[in-house]
Amino acid sequence: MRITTAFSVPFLSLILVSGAYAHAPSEHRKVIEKSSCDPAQIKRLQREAPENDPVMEAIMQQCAQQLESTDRSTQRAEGVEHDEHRDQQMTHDD
Amino acid sequence: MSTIRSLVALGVVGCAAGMAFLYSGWYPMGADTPHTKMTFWALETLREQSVARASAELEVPPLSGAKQLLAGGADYNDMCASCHLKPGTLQSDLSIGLYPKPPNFSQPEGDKNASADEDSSEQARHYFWVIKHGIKASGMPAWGLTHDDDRIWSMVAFLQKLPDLSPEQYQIITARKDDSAHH
Repeated sequence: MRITTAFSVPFLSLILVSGAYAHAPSEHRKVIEKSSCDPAQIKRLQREAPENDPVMEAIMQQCAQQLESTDRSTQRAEGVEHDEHRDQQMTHDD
Repeated sequence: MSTIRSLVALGVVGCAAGMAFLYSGWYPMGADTPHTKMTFWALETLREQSVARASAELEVPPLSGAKQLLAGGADYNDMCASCHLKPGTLQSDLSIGLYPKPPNFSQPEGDKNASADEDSSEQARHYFWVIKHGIKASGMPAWGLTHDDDRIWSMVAFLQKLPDLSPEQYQIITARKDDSAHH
């Protein structure tokens, strides 16, 4: 009788305690999200925001790096397109 | 003389009854059983009056900087959003299970006119004090033990803007720039 009690009490306590700490795993998972700084989205937010809006200012600061790199890659793409166009014209002229 | 005796006797009986109730274990302490209206009112009043008194002398710094919003937003997302929610979310496992129910800070307060400057700074003092010191037996921790005042004021600045943020604005502002988790 004593042995049964000695085993069952800690076992039951363990079950009860584990139930108290059980949360959905999503509550504890650490997900590091990156800002979704889509240039079209930022432009729309800019249009909708009032002047000198600190929220918009924060968004621009947050997205500055990403927007800059997007601009650079757009310019690079445009440059390549321009070069290709020029090459094509030169070949055509020859 | 007999009146005094009766009063003393009544007091002793009252104390004894109170102690008997305390030790009886009859009061339901489960978070899924709400307090009685009277207990709820007493605890709410105790909390509100205590916070108002303790925070009355706090000096509120300027709270409109973009940097504050970014710092406060990231901290809010890490430390508070699972209970106090974010734009586009109406409930979470924690917000459902906690008692008293944590306020949803992503929605504008219906009963307060937060546009007035006085209300706004009173609200800021209240937020700051609660974030720093926490609330006993409510699930609200004292973040002041691990975070400095500047960081807490940044969270207050973010909290004041939060009800007006759209889910996309929230996502952008609260994302941390570096890949390291701060909490």
